[in-house]
Amino acid sequence: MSGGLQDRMAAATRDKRVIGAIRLATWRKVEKRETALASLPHADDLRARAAQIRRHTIEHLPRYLGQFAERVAAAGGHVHFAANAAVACQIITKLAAARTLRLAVKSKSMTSEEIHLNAALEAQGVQVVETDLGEFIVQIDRDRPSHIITPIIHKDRKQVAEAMVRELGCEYSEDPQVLSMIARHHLRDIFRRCDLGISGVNFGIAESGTLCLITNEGNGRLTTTRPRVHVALMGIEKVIPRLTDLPVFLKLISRASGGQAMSVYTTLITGPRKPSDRDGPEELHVVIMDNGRSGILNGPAAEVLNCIRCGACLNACPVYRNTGGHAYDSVYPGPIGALITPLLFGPAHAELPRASSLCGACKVACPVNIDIPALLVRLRHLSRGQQPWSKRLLMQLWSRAMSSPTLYRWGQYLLRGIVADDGTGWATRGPGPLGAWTTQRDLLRPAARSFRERWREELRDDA
Amino acid sequence: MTPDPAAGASHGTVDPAFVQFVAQLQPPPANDTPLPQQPLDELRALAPDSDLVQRFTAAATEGGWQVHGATATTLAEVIAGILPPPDAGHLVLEPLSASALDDERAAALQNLLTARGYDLRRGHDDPTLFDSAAAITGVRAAIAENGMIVVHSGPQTARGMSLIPPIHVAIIATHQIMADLFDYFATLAPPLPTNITFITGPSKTADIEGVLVTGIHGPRTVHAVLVT
Ligand code: SF4
Repeated sequence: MSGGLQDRMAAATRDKRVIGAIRLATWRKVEKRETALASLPHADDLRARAAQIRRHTIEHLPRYLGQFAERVAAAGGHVHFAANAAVACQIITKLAAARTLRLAVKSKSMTSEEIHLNAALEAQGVQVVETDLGEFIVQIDRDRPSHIITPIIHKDRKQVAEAMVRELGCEYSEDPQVLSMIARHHLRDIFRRCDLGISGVNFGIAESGTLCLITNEGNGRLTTTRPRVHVALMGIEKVIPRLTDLPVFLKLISRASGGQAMSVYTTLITGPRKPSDRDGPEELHVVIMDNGRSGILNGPAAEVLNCIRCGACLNACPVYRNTGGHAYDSVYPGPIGALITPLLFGPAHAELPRASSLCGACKVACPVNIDIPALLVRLRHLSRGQQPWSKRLLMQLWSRAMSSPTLYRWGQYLLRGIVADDGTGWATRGPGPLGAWTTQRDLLRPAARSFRERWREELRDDA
Repeated sequence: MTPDPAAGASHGTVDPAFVQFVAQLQPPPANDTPLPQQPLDELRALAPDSDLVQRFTAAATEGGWQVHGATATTLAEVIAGILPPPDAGHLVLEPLSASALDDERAAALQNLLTARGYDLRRGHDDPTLFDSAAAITGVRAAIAENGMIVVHSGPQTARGMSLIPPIHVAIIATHQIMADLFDYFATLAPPLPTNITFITGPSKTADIEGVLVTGIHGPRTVHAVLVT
């Protein structure tokens, strides 16, 4: 999707069928999240604790990164450093070439999406197969994921069925159970033959050099068990200090994601297969990637690095729910994407923090209490020079009016004159500088009489 | 907690570029406060003196486990009742010392199942696992709070046992059930096994229109047999 943010968002809201499906799915997840957290004793204290651990870790990142690398190596793993996406791809393609690895299986990893790893590996003749069901369908349909946890939230079963018939030559079915079993069968054969496994990392535990991976399907376990070589790719912010810190996050992350107490599989990996082990990869490589993160570290939005990528803020966000993930034009959509995309990938995305109504639902949802709205406002402020003149003018008028009762009253009269009441209560297109503001919003028409007037004329006596 | 090199792993490496990168990151603030120890007891979901069997059963059932009760004497019969018929394919079985499926129990179980016509295999190279009908294993722990079992990789247990066969039968001694996830983490000490996995139910996905499908990659059916 091309064009500016406004065009993309406007185009996305027009696809009623997709948006309807996304609304329903996200709404269900929000409800499940709320129920799951309400039934967890001390949920607020756990969230405060999780936030404290994340804050402490990011403040002391050099210490924990150093310790983590040392302990991964002590357990027999190899630690690589990628300053940026190109280096990360290079490290992994070189590893594959040096060992003549031909068939890579991947479990879902947003970090690998961030660096376009599949294309890099395929250019070197390594076949890459996504094994998370959603990512697998994205891959065979040459699509892009639109949610960091549920990648095909924008697709219906018909589209899935068509892609599978076309690419796998199977019988047509719209039954999700049947479709899933076709994928299982296809991927099982890949799992028998693969020689390279690529995964992300949910948490890296500094004190023991342990990688924590969380999945529901089991593809993450197969990916880190079957192949000869396991490569785990993680951003520098993924570490936590101690093993005993981990359960605090485990109790929260799946509840926040979609209301499960814990995901089906939580795996802790410490080193490659030992001589006494019966299976598992002979080699473990951990690629730790910066790719812009260290630049965020000492800046005004360092708090975004506390994110544990649970996806709760996407589901909670009214903008995400009405536009879907693709309109953000980033591998990281939703509120967290609106923050982290411009921070990681630069000024081309400077308008993304405006893709928010600042309603605060993301902050309520976030299991590590990141103040997303405050950060969005901060980033908007930093890039305000790039606003269209009409919006800047509107905001200036607004701020002047809000700071003076007389101007506010005059403004009300004026607005009532130009946005006439037509009985619906809403105006879809505002006049003058309000035009820009109303491209994706409806404007509440001013009441025939203001509250101040009613107060003066009829309510004051009741008080 | 340093991993124990004596556990047999050879030492790995750290890219010097990484060491350099970490060295040039801004050091922690001057008013450096250590992360306080976990006040875990204040955050527990479940008190240690709760009815653990009851809570485990409820949480595990919700997660999709089929929970069965057994005693030492009825165990073999209970398991025989769970399994698919012998012609469904061979079974894989691994005894696990200090679990509810130690050598002695495993031997007894093997005798009974063999007598009923099952093909039981102990060695589990990958084809054995991929083509099997079910796996029977012990566990390292179970957690009542959210109905999970914990399995470790090691000389006795392949990671694939609880992952590759379509049915997993986990044998749990009731005294292995801990109340809270925190209790399990408090027991972890070096050297850690290469792989620790927590399992809350059958392999699941809801990627297609949010419809819950089980058995997408791992076992579709999971049984928890609680032995008193
Ligand atoms: S910002 Fe918070 S809610 Fe959003 S993905 Fe990150 S941790 Fe989850």
